[in-house]
This record gives sequence, C-alpha cells and structure tokens, in this order.
Amino acid sequence: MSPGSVRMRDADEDSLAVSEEEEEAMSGSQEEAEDEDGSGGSYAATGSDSDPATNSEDATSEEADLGVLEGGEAGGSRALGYRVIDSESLKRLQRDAINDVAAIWGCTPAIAKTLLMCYMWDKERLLNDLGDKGQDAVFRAAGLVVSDGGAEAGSSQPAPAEAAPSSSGTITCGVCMCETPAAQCSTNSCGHAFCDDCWQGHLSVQIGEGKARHVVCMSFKCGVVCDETLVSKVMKGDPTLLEKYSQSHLQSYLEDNARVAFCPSVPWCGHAIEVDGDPYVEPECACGLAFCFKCAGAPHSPCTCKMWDMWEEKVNGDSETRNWLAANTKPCPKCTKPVEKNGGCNLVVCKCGQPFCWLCGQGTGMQHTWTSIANHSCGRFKDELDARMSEAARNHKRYMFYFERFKNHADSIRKEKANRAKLLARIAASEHDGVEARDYGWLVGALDQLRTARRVLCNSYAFAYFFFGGAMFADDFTEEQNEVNRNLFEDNQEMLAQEVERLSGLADRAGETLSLDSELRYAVINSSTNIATRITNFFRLIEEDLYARVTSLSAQIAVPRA
Amino acid sequence: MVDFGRIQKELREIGNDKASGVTVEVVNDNLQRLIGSVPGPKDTPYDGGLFKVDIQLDEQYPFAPPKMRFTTRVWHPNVSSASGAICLDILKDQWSPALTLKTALLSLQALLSSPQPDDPQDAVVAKQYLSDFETYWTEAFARDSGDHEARLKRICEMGFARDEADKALAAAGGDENAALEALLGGG
Repeated sequence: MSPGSVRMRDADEDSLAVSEEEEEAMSGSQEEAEDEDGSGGSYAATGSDSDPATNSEDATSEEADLGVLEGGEAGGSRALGYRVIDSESLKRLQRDAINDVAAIWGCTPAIAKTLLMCYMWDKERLLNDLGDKGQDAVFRAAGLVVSDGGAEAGSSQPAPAEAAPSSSGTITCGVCMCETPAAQCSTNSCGHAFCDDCWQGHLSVQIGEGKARHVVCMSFKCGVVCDETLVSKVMKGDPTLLEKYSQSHLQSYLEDNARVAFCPSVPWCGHAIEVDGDPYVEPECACGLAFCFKCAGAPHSPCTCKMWDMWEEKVNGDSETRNWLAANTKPCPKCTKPVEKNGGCNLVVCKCGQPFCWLCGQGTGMQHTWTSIANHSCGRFKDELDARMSEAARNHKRYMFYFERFKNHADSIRKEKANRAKLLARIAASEHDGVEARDYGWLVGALDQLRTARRVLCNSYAFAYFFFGGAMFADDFTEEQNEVNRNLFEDNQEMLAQEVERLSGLADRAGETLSLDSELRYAVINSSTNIATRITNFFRLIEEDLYARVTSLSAQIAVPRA
Repeated sequence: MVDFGRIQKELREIGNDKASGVTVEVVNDNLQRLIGSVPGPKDTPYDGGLFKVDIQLDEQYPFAPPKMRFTTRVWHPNVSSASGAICLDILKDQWSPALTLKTALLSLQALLSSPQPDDPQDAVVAKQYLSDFETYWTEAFARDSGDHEARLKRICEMGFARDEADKALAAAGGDENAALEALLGGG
C-alpha cells in the first residue's frame, strides 16, 4: 500500500465537512492532483529497490517468461478478438466474406453479396438458414430469383420473360408505355424487361434516396433485386451515381454488420473495428483510442455498460451543481433533501418541517435561543456522531471514497500515457544509435500491460461503488454476503494495485536510463507477468464469484486478454 | 424531369375506360396537380358516395409514388379524419413504377371496402370502426346533401350549438363541408 493512498484513506475517515472540502478543492485545482501523482511515482521507484529478493528470484525463470511474453505479442492480432478495418482492408474483408459464401454454397459472388447484405453479413446465420429453411425461402427473402436450375441461373441466363422482345424487335415498356426497340431495353434477372431510360430513371431515384443496397425490379410485387450487370449497363451514363451505388455496397459491410462498429473518435479517424464474435470486447483502434465495442464509451470493464453509463452521469453529469451543494448545503436528517442556511441562528428548519442543528446536522427540537438549542450540544466530540450521520451523507461519503481512488488512477493513466509516448519516441530515436527497436520490446510490452492494469484498477472502483452497497444489487446479496464479497474483491484489488505501482516504478526507471541492464529487464518482465496473472484472477473472481451470483440482470463484460 | 408523355397517356386511358368508375381531372392545365375521384364501393357504408382525391405528381413520377389525399371527408381507419392522409403501402414503399394513377385509385377503392384497423392512420376511427360512422360521414360529406335544415341538423348532431352552426353555414354560403371546416378550425 503506497503512502499516498494511506493518506487518502485517512482523509476519508474524517468528518463529512472534510470530504466536502476535498471535493471542492478537487474541482478547483487540477495541479494538486498532478503533484500527488508525481510523489506517487517517485515513491514507487524507491519501493521497487526494496525488493531485491523478488528480482533475483525472477532471474531464474526469465527465459521462459520472456518467451511467453513475446509469443503472446506476435500472435496478438489474432488473440485480441478483433481487428481494425481501414479503407484498404475493407475491400479485402468484404471480398473474403463473399467468396467464402460463394465457395460454400456454390453460387456466384454477386448472389453471395446480395444474400450477405440481406443477412447483415452474418455468414453463420445465412448458411444455417440456407440449410434449414431451404434455398428458395432464403433467396426469395433476399430478392433473388428462385429457379430450379440452381444458384447459377441468377444473373446470366435470360429467364422466359413475360415482356420478352416481340417478333418485330420492339418492347412495350410497362412504365413509359412506349414501343421501344429491344436493343434499347434491358431485362433484369427476374425476366422483367423495361426500356433503358425507365430503368435509369428508377435506379437514379432509388440510389439517390439511399436505397442502393436493395433496388428492386420495377414490376409490381416482383421484389427481385436489380442485378449488378443491369445496373452498370444502364447507369454507365451517370458515373457519379454508379460510384455512389458501389460505395454504398462497400459501406454495407461496415454499416449493416453487427460485428463491425465505427471508431468513436472525434474527428473520426476513418477506422472501424470488426470483432470475431463476442461483442464484449474493448478494442484499441489504430488511432490509439480504446473503447467498449458494445456501448462505444470509454473502456469500462469490470463495470457493465449500464454501470458505466450511470457512473459517467454521476461523475460528469452535474458535478458543478453537486460541488456547490456539497459545499453549501447539508442534508436534512429526515427527508435527506439538501438544505441551505440563509441566515439566522444555528437551528435550521427544513421545508419538510424537521428542525436540525446546522453545526452537526443532527435532528433537534424547536426550542432554542441564539446561543443554544434545548437538550442539544454538539460542541463536544462524540464517537457516535459518525454513526448518526444521515443516510444521504453516508452515501455521499461512499461515493467520494470510490471517486477519489477512481480519479487517482485516471490521472495516473493520463500521466503514463504521456510518458509512454515520450518513451516510444526516445526508443525510435535510439534506433539510429545502433540499438534495434526490438531490444525494447519487453519495455513496450510492460507499458501495454501497465496501461491495461491501470484501466482495470481505475474502473474497479466504479464497479465497487455499484456492486457493494447501493441499490443496484440490493436484492441479490445479504449484508453478510456483501461484506464477504467486498473483502475478497478488495484483497484482489489491493494485490493488483501493489504490483501496478511496482511496475510503474520499474518502467519509469527503465525508461529514464533506457539501459539494457538484465536485472532491471527481468524485474520488469516478471512484474508484467505477475500483473497479467493478477488481472486474470481478479476477473475470475468478478465473473465467477460476483456476477455469476447476480440474478437480477445478466451482466456481460469484456475480459482483458493476458 | 417530369414524364408528361406518360401522364398524358395515363389520362387518355382513364378517359377511355368508363367501366372502372374512377376519374382523373386536370386542374389549371397543370399536369402535376390532378383531382381524382373514386366511387364508394357497392355493399359498403361508402356506397353512393363520390370521394375526391387530391393528387400531386412530383418531378420523379412515375419513379416515386404520387401523393394522394382524400379531400372528401372519409370515416375510415386508414384515412385521417382531419387531413385526408391515406395509409396505403403502394403509395409508400410498395410503389412500383409499373403502377398507374388508375391502379392507385382502384387500390383506394379496394381500401375503402377492406379497412385495415390493425394498421390505422386514425386511431379514433379505428376504435369506432364497427359503429355506423362510415355511413354517417358518407351521408354528410360524400353525397349531394339535402336542404338547409337537414345540413344544420347534421352539424348539430356532431356536437355544435345550433346558432353557431347556423352562422357557420350562412358564412360558408350553405356549403356544409366548409361550414364544418370553419367550426372545427375555429374550435
């Protein structure tokens, strides 16, 4: 336990008045928090020195550790459960998906594409349906021609058309009602023929209205999608709309795909993320932004999306108002509404009628003078004062406890992010001095691990605020169960926190000198392996012992991959 | 570009076809603003009425559906009793360029004989769908109405004070529709 956090705990066990002051101070000065961080960092550095035993112990198993760490990194993109899509890979991914289906079902890529667009690019569901419901039903729903000749009959074979060219070589177009030479008419895969001018008019309107992904035949109740051969033939005079058409088909892979989400960066970096299956992932985009795939908010595991939403609202929603309330009002001991003293003596009467003492917040009778309240004295220190504190104040204190710790780690994340960027730049610069970048792979890996761990720690305080006490899980646990759970959780949390501070110190030291001293290097590698294990254990506890017992909601969260 | 050629062909075809009963007239020589009429289908509460439809054709017609709205008041679950707006799939996403004004008007006629109260445009009407309001409204608005007293009585039955209704009728020159519009609008 670092002295920094010990000091904070002390501060927190002071009376309500102190924590109010703290909140005010916190909103007022960011610098103070930064200072605290600085001291925390230097402490951690010295702390690591006092651990030589662990360091030498690490040295024995160093080769194995190193191998595991590097192996894990090399296979990273596959093990992560997601991949970043940019404009280049988009075409490739879409083509791969289309070719997969075309190969499995034995249809043309054009048909596979129409099917996939109809099935929101969900290959498994499409293939299941093709198997279960039969090809005809699926094709009909997707707007494809249902024929006996198999899938190939789709776009190329001219079907026996009701509006086939007459012997004189003209067609009566059913839209403009004109006799048109057959050469100026086109037939869709369903066999319906209309003149090219009408097709163009139809396609222009449909594409213009943003329906490019499902333009159907002009014939009433036909419902067959206009095939791409037809579209490109008829629209060749309008390259802008044709481009819009193909772009829209390309974008469909991103927009209609449940496994793809756009990176929520502002301004948008142009990337999207595709997950392998499980949507409970917290991917990091190529632009550096990490986010929850499910809710697009900041990474928040072990909190659920809902908890995080509530936490964000609590932290950011009305902080100004709350700060003012905390500093200038006291909760009524009866109705818990905030009461502001607008003058007069220390006996305050709430709107609900309850009189209370402004000095200690305790409910009193109405009998009073300017100097005293009948049968009440609070000038003397009383042990039980804390116990009598109203529910509102207790809740507020609980929130402040978790919020302060949350904020401390959040500040550390910011600081370590800046350090990391600086360090990466220096490593890149050092390449020119003859030392190859991969020599620092262990350090970069450790920084990645540190960042993940910090985020988990930080969010674990928001999690604790909702999970232990509070209304959210009140029906799921008894008070004793809650106590046991909380102790288990806090033990794990503390173990992780210790190792995080240690690694933070080690990484600082290694980063400052950029030395390739093997002892320091092994210590860093070992510490990050420790952290990986502790994160895994921490999440096992959260998932298997805490969330698993919750019956009031199904809680699904992203688990950081070790 | 409006396809006037097609609209003219459609008008000619509707003019030649007396059997269907639906008509389309041009207003002020403007081929994009037409007035259609649909006779109430036989053996329905709308029987005997002639329902006028305001038709607007935008630039994209026939690739976009015509905008149709009843100007005659219709008591029907899928027609707004206030604006005459029609809830019919072929006038929205099910429109096909191969459909025509005639087929659309015939679809309106079909809609009159088979209301879809499950997908209502007017919730109040849909609720009272089984009552005899259709007949009443057809009497009141779609049929050539009787004398002044009958008109006055009908308006009063709708819940307006007699002297108020009398005034409104006088102001509207005896036009029951216009008088009711004024009363509803003013109220």
